Amino acid sequence: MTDPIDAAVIRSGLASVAREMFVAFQRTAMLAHLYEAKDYSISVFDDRLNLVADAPGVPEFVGSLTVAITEMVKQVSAGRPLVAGDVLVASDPFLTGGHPADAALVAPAFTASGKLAGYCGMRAHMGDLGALNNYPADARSVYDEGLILPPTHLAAAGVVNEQLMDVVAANSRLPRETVGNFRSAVATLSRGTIKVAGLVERYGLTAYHDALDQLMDASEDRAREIIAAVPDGDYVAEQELELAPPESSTVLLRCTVRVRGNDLTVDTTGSADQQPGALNVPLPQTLAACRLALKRLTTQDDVVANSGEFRMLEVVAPEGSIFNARRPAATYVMATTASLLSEMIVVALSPVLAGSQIARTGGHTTGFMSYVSAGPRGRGAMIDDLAPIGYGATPDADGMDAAMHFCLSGMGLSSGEVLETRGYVVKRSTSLVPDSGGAGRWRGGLGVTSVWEVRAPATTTTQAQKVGRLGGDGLAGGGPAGGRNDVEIDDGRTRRSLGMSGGTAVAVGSTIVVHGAGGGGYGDPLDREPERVAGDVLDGFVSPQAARDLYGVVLNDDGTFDAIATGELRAQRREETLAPALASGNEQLR
Amino acid sequence: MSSAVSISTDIGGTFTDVIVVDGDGAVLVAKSPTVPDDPIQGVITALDGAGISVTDADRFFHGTTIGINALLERKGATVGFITTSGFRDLLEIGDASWPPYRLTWSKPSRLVAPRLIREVDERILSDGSIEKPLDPVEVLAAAGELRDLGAEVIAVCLYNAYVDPIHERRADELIATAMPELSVVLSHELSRRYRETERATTTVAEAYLRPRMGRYFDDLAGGLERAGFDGRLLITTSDGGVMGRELAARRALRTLVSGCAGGVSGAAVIGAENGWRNLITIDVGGTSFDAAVIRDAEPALLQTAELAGLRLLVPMIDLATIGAGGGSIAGVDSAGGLSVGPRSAGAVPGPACYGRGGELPTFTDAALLTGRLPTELLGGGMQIGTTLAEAALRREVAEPLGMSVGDAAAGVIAVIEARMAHTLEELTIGRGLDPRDFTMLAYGGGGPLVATGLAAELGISRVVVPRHPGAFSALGMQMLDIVHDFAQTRLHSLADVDEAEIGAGFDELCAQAVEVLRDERVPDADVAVLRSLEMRYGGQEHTLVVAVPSDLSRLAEAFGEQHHAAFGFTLDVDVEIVGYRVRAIGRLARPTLGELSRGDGDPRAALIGHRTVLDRALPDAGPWPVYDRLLLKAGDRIPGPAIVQEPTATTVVSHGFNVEVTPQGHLELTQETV
Repeated sequence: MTDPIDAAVIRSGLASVAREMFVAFQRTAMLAHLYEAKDYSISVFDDRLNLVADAPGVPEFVGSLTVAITEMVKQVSAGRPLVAGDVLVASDPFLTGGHPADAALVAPAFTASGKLAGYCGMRAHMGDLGALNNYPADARSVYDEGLILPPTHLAAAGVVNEQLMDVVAANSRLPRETVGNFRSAVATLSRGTIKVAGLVERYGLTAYHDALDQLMDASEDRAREIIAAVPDGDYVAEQELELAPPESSTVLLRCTVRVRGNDLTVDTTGSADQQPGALNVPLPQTLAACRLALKRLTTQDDVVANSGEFRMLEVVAPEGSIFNARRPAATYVMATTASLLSEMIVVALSPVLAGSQIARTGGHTTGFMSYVSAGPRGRGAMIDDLAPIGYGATPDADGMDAAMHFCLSGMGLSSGEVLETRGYVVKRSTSLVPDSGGAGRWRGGLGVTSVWEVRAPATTTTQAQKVGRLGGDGLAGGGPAGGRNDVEIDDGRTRRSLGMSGGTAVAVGSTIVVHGAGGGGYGDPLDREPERVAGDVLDGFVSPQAARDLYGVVLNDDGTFDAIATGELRAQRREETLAPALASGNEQLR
Repeated sequence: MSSAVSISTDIGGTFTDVIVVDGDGAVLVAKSPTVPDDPIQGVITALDGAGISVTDADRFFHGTTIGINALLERKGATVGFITTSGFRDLLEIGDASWPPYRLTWSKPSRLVAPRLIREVDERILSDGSIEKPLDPVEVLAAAGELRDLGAEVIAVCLYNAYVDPIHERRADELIATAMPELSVVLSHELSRRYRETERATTTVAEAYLRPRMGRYFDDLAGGLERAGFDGRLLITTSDGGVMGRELAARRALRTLVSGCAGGVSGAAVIGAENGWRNLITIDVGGTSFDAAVIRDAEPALLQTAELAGLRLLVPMIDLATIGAGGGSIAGVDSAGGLSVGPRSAGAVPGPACYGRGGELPTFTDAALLTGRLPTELLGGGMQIGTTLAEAALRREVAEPLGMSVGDAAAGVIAVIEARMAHTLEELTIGRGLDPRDFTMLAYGGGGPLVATGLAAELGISRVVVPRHPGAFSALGMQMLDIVHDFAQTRLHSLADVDEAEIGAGFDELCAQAVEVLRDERVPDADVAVLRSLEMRYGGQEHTLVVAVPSDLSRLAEAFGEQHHAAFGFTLDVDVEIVGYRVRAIGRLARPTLGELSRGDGDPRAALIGHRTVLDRALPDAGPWPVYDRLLLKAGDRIPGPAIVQEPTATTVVSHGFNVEVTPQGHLELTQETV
């Protein structure tokens, strides 16, 4: 057995390599979506293709890269063995589990003596690969979604594949940015592989394997221990998915989380078949959604993400269903559907998992992505924004106000002042939505509404689920969330609610309004300290009317509360609700 | 001693360090416990205790952690915030990011209550045009309401004010006239850079600290005056300079990591004097390891400081900080490996060996058990307990991992050094620098303990342990100049501007630079104004700061070279200027450190004994010789392995390193070429 000290050094060394690559890429990437929002993730794999360290910008990518790079390495090395300085790329969604613009890249690390040491991998929104429009939520098949690269060499033995770069440039609305990002990625990964190889050269393959086996085994044990505490059973969550136009219907998503001992199966049987629009999910992304949920419920950020902690997970998704779509299904906005699945798993398990109780999060991965074709020098540009949402309250804290959806939590909002310098937009406001947090002993978090005025002709994709039963129900007597998830376009005369849409034209002078909903409350709102309610009113988080109607708090003109009147009102409320609550108790417990 | 010329004090969490340099260049060090409730009294006591009179001193340099502590503990003023209509919730929303993989999270606590925020309906666009003028009635109503709600100070950050601050200035005039009792902090006075959330955070944080820091500097000046000081009181800054205390009272945020910065900048000066122009500095204190890079005698600067959960648009020395110091706690991690830090036993209860109730083993305990540290510290002022250290390490590390206490102690050293080494790799290799091109300069109580181990790990062949490493940050302050930075975001493609326009872009900033140095009473002959540009490839966001070459036509080329050096590639696309930067420097006369008397090269007179040192890299080496640094003479040479002790620090000379004492008394440790 390897010395525990060397083992610790090897593991912290790999984590350090991942962080180093993350920073290097951020500093050289050429798209606000990368350098501002950090829409990318870096992972390190050992020579056996186990995930052993990562630096996540976007948590939703966790795990899907494992599937992607395993297949990429297999396919390419069947033709010719990989050598130092190779960087492989793939953009086929059915292989990578990401839309084509989110290309997957992997670079093998070899020691000086030519021994395979591991791999550095990356997934990043590389720019534009010539889809139907810049973010085709309206794609009808994979052929509308941009250049599909099967696993191939982006660099061979340290030399960038310039012909491939020419192909990429010729297919891109943003050739400068897209090619620049690929070059930056090659430099980033190459740097990482040298460090990984160095660790193996120094400590030897046996110590390296031992160190990583210990990490994976211990992480597996930890995750299993937590799941073992859940009573055996089938825990079900359902949710509606709103399809993008021209479809105007919703379809059902269903997941059954089966806990048997310390094993866990997520079964999506019962969910809709694959659909004509772009909300279909290829299997690798379904897997990633399940892994993210499992990690949030077990090891969280205590342990670096690694293959060990997912060993107990089995995923069942019938072929041809929306969670295991087949070519040529369109999948461009798969992240919306996958993020719902990830939340459904949390909703199903959270009530039976000690220490993980949290009321529902009402918001989804809501946002818009616009493309302006006529910028300075005739260049196009992308402008996008996401709606921060409110989180569910827990048994001992209010829900988070204004936070990114958990699938995207490492991403940050772009600065309005920075985007305005490009001359295409003016940011008009960004505001917490009062009363969007569900009432409760602990209040749900507040959602956000932001308004952007468009100053150049643009087209936009919008991503918003306006419907859904996950809409922020409270827990343990807490109230449901308010607010909504939507993207609207206001041309000064009318305001159009777009929900899911792609390629929508936006006239100069219109505003794009993006809304993220709040989270559910926890516990009876009549039990919330009146001081907190009065404080929330002063801060503009709760309206005076809601303070009275939902919390039973009577406020004075100066913002303080009237203790006697509040006591009386609350007593009266409790009496009113006691009888019907008892009658409907069984119904609520469902 | 002859009269003091220059005094510097660094008030840390545990100790207040005082350095006095007299007219002959003799250096006196005094260390006394920090008095948390009355830090100024702590300084005066330290001076009295060392028999130092401030009467004859020309300059008093001062660094403090009061600002950063107030910010960390959220103990600042009640701030009212005024911003542009539509952006009331800007601070609450922030950038909305949070740590990946968590079920939920607590945001860092706020500096200003939302109920103390008001909007004014004005708007300036990014091209500087005024879309909607400021309404004076609205401004006064907002300020009046905030005052009535108890705001002591008003922070004003208006959207796009970095382009044109006219509305912020007008708001200031209006409030100052109508409500002179309110102090006002304006965003553009702190930063002319874009990013509304960061600029607003910066403005509010300055307002939050300013009243307290202003009072503190007044009290300090008063206390010194009463003690007879009539020289110049200079406050050190996070970016490695100093400023007069009059200005410091309006730049509270510039003092946040001033102690650390004093050490790094002092190292740059001492390095340049000795021909070590490229340095990696490491400072190991009780709780943290702080490292910085100095290239060509210039410390690397960050334009945005991330401190106390806030992103602040103030420059600071680029410090890589991890929780690894003397008090870092050792234990077994979830994967069954040995871990050290970031949890710290702090000053109280402290390491187990201090016998103050600490029961968990720390890095200091391991350093003691491996023979690196002596059994008494501070020159005999403090005894430490081997038995307590051994019991703690046995229980928490050795037994769970099934190893001997000695192996566990050596393992703790190896693991903490590995964490430090990884940090140094990210700081150098991660940014395109080869650590082998650098000299390592180590200070703080624990820096000289780990320096040769880290240097061997990174392939660094020279380590310097300066004189008085335990109080080096205070010594470093004596080397600083008056520095003020000015920056302005102004975006254009290099292809769209000619050389004259670029030159003109600096005019306003240079005028400000000259003005501030005049306010600081710097004679023209001592003024230097350095110009640089923030540049990037079109499409990138992050910029490189490029010193303006004398031949402006070389600008694109200079940028390309720098990009290749930093990131390993260049691109054939247009190059953009994002911002203009000016650094105003007022040179101060530096004390000349006296030289150590010269010996014959033989260190035997300083040899005080031998002890066994457990070292994973060098098992079975037998006892190492131990030297008293105070008895060493210039020119003395010591072959490794060896230990060199002095009252506030212990230097470990690993096998393969040889020491030479420089004429000024620094230890220069050179690794033999293999």
